[in-house]
Amino acid sequence: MKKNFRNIFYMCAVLAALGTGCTKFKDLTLNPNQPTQSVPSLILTGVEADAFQFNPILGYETRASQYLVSDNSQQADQSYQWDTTDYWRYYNTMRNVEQMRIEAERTSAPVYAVLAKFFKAYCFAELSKQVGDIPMSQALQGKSGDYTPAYDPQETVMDSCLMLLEQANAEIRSLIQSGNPPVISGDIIYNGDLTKWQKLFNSYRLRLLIDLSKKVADNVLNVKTQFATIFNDPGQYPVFTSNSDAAIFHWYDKDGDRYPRFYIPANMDYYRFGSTYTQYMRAYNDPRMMVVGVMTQVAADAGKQPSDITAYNGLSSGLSISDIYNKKDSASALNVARYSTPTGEPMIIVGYPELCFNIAEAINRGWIAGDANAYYQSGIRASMRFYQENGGQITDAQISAYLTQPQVQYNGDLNNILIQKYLSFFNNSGWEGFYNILRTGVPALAVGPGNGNNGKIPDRWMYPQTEYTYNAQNVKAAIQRQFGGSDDRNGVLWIYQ
Amino acid sequence: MNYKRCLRIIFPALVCVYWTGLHAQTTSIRGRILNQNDRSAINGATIRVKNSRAYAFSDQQGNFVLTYAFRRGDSLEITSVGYAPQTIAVAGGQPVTIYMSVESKALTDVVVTALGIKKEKKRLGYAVQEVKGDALVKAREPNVVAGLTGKVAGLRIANSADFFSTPDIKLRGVTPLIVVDGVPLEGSTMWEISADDVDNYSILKGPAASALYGWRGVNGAIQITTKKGGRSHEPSFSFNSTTTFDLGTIQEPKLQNEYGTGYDGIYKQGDPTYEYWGAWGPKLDGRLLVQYNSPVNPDGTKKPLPWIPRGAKNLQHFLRTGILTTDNISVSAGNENGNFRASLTQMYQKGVVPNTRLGGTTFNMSGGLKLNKRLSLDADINYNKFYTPNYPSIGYGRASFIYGLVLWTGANVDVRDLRNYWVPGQEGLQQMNYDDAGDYNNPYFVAYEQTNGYYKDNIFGNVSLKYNVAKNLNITARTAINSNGLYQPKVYPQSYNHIPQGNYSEDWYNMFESNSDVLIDYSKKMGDFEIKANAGASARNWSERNIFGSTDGLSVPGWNNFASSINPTTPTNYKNQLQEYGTYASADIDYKDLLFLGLTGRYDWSSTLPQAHDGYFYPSVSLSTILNEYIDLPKAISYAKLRAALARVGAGMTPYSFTTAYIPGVRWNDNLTLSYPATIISPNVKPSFSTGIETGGEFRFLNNRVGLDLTYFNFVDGPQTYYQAISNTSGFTSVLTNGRKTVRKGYEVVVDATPVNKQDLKWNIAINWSTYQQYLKALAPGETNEGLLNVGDRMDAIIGTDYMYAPDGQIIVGSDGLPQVDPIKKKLGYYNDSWIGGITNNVNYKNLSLYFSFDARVGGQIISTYERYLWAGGRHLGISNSDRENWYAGGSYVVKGVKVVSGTLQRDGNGKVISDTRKFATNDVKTDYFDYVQNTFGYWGIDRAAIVNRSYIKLREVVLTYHLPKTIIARTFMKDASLSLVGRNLWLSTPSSVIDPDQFTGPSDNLQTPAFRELGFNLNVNF
Repeated sequence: MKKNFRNIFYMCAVLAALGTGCTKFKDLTLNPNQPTQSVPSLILTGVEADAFQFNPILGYETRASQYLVSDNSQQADQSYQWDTTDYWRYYNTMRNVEQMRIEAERTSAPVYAVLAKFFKAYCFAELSKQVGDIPMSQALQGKSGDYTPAYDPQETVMDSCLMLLEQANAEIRSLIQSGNPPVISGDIIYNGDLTKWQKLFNSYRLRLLIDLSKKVADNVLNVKTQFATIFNDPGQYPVFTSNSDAAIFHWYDKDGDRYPRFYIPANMDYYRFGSTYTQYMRAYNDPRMMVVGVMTQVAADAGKQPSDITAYNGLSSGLSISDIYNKKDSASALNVARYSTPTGEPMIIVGYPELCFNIAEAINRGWIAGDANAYYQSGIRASMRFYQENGGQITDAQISAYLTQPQVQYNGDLNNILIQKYLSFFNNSGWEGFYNILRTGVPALAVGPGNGNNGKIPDRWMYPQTEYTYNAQNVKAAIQRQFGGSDDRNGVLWIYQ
Repeated sequence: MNYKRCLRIIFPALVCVYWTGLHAQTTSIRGRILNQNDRSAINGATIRVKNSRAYAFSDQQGNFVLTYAFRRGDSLEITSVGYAPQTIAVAGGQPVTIYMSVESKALTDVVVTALGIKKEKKRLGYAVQEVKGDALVKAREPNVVAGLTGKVAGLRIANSADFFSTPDIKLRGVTPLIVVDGVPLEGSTMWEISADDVDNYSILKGPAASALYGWRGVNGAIQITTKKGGRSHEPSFSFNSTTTFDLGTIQEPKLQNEYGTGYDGIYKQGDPTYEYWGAWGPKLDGRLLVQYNSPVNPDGTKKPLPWIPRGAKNLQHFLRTGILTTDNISVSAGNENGNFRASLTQMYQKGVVPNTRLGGTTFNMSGGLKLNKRLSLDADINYNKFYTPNYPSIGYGRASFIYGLVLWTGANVDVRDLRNYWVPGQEGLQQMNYDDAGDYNNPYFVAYEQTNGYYKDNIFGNVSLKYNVAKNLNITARTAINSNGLYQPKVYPQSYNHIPQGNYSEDWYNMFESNSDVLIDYSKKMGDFEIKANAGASARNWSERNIFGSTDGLSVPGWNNFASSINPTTPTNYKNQLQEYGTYASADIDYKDLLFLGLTGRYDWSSTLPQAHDGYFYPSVSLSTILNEYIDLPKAISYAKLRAALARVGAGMTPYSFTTAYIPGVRWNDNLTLSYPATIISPNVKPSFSTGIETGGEFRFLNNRVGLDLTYFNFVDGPQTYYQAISNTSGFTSVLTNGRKTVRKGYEVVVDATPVNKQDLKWNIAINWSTYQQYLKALAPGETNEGLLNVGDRMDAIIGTDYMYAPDGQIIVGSDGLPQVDPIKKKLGYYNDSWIGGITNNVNYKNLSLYFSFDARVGGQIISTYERYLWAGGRHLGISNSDRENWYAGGSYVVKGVKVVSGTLQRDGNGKVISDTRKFATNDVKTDYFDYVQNTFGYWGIDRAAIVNRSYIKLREVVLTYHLPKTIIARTFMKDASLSLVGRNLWLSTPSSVIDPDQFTGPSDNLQTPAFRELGFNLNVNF
């Protein structure tokens, strides 16, 4: 018996580990690595970085709008053979926007809920401008089990976005005027300046209204009235008054925050300026050219001076790649020194020059009364100053001289405004430059052997394949409604019809 | 002889002597028990003096010593499970060698089943295949599991030529559990096990076989039984040494060496345009050009050098002869009351890439002790350390020597000129390279300065006590631990492209696991029935911790420390923990030795599951019958067995997967960012289940000369716990839910035969052949497809870009003169093999034996990264010289195909045609050859054009062994000695002229190191 006890004791000793470390299951279900709650400010930083960070220089935007041409290989941007939109990622951004709103409610910090309204308006509108109809009213309801939201017509989307901006303006105004204005933390755009946010809401709203210039007759949107209401009441609806008000995304010389083009100058050598852009630079003797580009090899070999505008040139985006390659010495390359630093060039998201040109255009179109030329000149000046403020060698004298040239004078022609607006959009504001071209046809984009879309400039992007897999019924209904069932890049969006 | 005596003093043998009579003279008989077929040692055979109580056991080398007062006429009875018993007369002349033949009734073979329980193979209702440990100790690979390649039906081991890479192990298409002595080593890469310590590999192929391991056994298991001390009274020593050399490649990329670096036929030193595109430069015809290594004239100009293919053999010059040596020494001893074995293995490998080396030390100790009449103790411990200060970086990127030396450089560069890789006077600061424009790295600079260290310590072991409570009733209690620590430092030197300021990082990982279980087994015979029953419980604790930190630039080049960081950085860390408890029971019921029924059941609880559903039950049942016991079969069939098994296995999840928590992201200007996860967690997530059916038969013919084993399996993995993708317009990209099902199906055939069986000449052959495919069986209600995969489709489709085709199948050329790419991706092929197989041969002739094996994988495809970038960099042999010259001369190129002259194609988003009014004409739109190459095969190539058939057949292993004759052995201290010539990877046949497809199992390859032929020798001595 004694022996048996001893045997049993040995057995238990071996199994001692069975019992040790017996933590309660419940304690092991808690994830020690990640928080289940957040303050809204930590979400805001990520939302700003997601929504506002565009791919500088090498993004498709610069070649689609023919600021640049690539000399190596046919890519979808330059040959206009693109297919699906990548803006669908904005739904992921908006998941965080929605979560920021929820955490704002939980922590009683309503200012973040106001910002959430703006980001929704921004993301939905920018997305719709890519494809047309999109899920909006039923979107972002995954938590309550709606995985297949229906698509809203583009008209509804635009109307809802404008409404969100109206609400955001009213709400932030009352917070500012409350006597105890709230603090915004984690804000990498405005460092918590509430008044600048308010100006952004209204300036962005003016952008959307200009985007809708073909829909002046639409009595749901009342484009003209909305524009005039904002413009005529700067107390209620303040807008940008200088570059320092604009929404600008900065890169930092910190791990993970550096300019995407930092230290890969080699890739930039594949690019030359496009003649759609340089023709105006040359014709207008534009000092911005010397900031963004360098002299052509041909001009340098001929001993020309960097200050001589004729030393700069571009190539037509319609050329075949081999033609571009063979002629690259006669075109200006990028100013690599400017675009390969750790902080690069700050990127304008919604800029003051654009606002000026939008107002000038509205005056030109007769939506509002005012001095179009003054806004036209302010827009040019602001664009030049942006370079001046960010390391570009442009003097005030150069700006004045530029503005006095007869070919730069505003002569009442809308094209003056549209061309200057185009020039100010180089390497900023995402696809807004290209949308303006789609809307107005100004400037005319070059088409030639390099175009792989049967000589056409596409009017939109296709819906992502995942929609056909996971939300097929709704996307097909939207395609049927807009384009008779065919999802291709040459369908014309409702806002441009 | 003195040596042997000394050893006896150090390890005193516990000699049992049985006195049977005063008149008898006590003598010892020494001998060795070997398998008649392959001369392998038989461990644990019983040698008994007939009609007496005197007996001895053979040790792991098959040796035994039996001391007895022999009388005239005594004989020895030798028995061993699975072999025909033998009786031999005691005669003079020592030592005796006794060859035992596999018992004719066969398959009284005992195999190791789940939890280390030994069972007779005939009783099993599922497939188990065994490989003897001895088969893997001569022609060695650094990782033990590589030795199993081609030896087991249904087991696919993908071996990489890359230094220090872990073979990819797939059993019936999924990763099996690794078990050592009944204890799971989850996540094992098998580096920690020395082949010299392995007695036996037992491959449990399906869930029915491994159900007792719980969810971790769902994919089958590779079970390793380590060597034990045995019961031969005398200590025995074993020394095994293998050295192999990498001698020449069996596959390396074939390159064009006629054109050098440049673009459009032009090379300008220092100009990025002419240095980035690889070998699209001038003909290497001896013309004089200024090059990176041109001497500088007194006037500052550079002296042109002849433009010739000096670097045509760059790979051969850069890579060196690799060496692998493995030495093992082991000692073992034992008696009826205990046994002991200790073993030390030292491995050293010198890689083919300069400055790469690997060391491995494994110490293994095991012992058993009979504590009292009813209680016995067994304990094992294995310590292993793997260490390398540098292993090469592999894969498309600037750290790969293939990238810098093969893909993007012409043969004008001779790698031997790059050996002194610092710019003179700027040592430690600036690398010297052929690429003055600074996009590529000098391969020697990477090899010596961009180092990847790996230091891993691993300890695992277990203690087990067996308590014989009563006759037929035992209780076993066991606790096992497994712990490892891994430290990985990584250096990017100053001037590395594109990390110009250098970087230093460290990754620390620690894992600890304990498994404790208690098992009761009981057996009883009742009339025609015999029941063996088990019941048990187990507890598992598992945790891991990691910390990773990196500098952001190095303030002082070469000062590799976090304090050296130019900018502040944040380290990252995580810890994960889980617990699982299980109870289980099993029963084997045997009716008259001809019908066998096996039942198992297990109930598990896991901390990884939501509390409402944290427990789950799963059973298995298996049935087998031996037909020849009750049916008259043709004489040619000596044995016939049918078997079937059905098993269901449940599983938990990875820790914390059902909690929704924010994910930290990049800090913007020092502001932390948090983002909300994209997955919705369904609150009712339940454990996942897999259900498998397996049927088969085992047959032996012609008096056992030929054996055949057939298996069909059909495993349904599901309903799974899975992430159902949803439209992200919902704000989320997936839902964690239950429901998806996939199915794995396949056949396995194992044939063994003895075509020649003569006294002096024996030839055994074993063939295995198997198939496996996985299909999508079911999705959530309402879902019919997962991307391009529809329910019912194979899961291994390669999805990528394709040409646009006219209805007659011709390629459509766009208005830019280039083949048009279909914007809708397509299934281009399948990457899984149609079948895999292997043949192993054993030929014994007197003292010589020859082992050789072939294996093959047939039918899979791959998108080849190698192919694509060889085209892109201008070194692919498919590039036409005349078209190239034509491009250089400014000529155009017309792609063969058709162009659209009018009309349009309208398709919906799924690619379904809505209307097609296109009219075609033969293409006459011009482009140039370079654009055509880059946009079809090269940098922007169409996936379709890079598809390669990755079938192969390989001569995997050849071992020619000479056994020292007994007559010579008898005069030495040795019991047995052999010398072998060994070779691995000796011959390869594959459609690709570039890759050795052996290592690739997925849809693409990854710039592997050229595959080398290994040759060497092995020495094995037992004393």
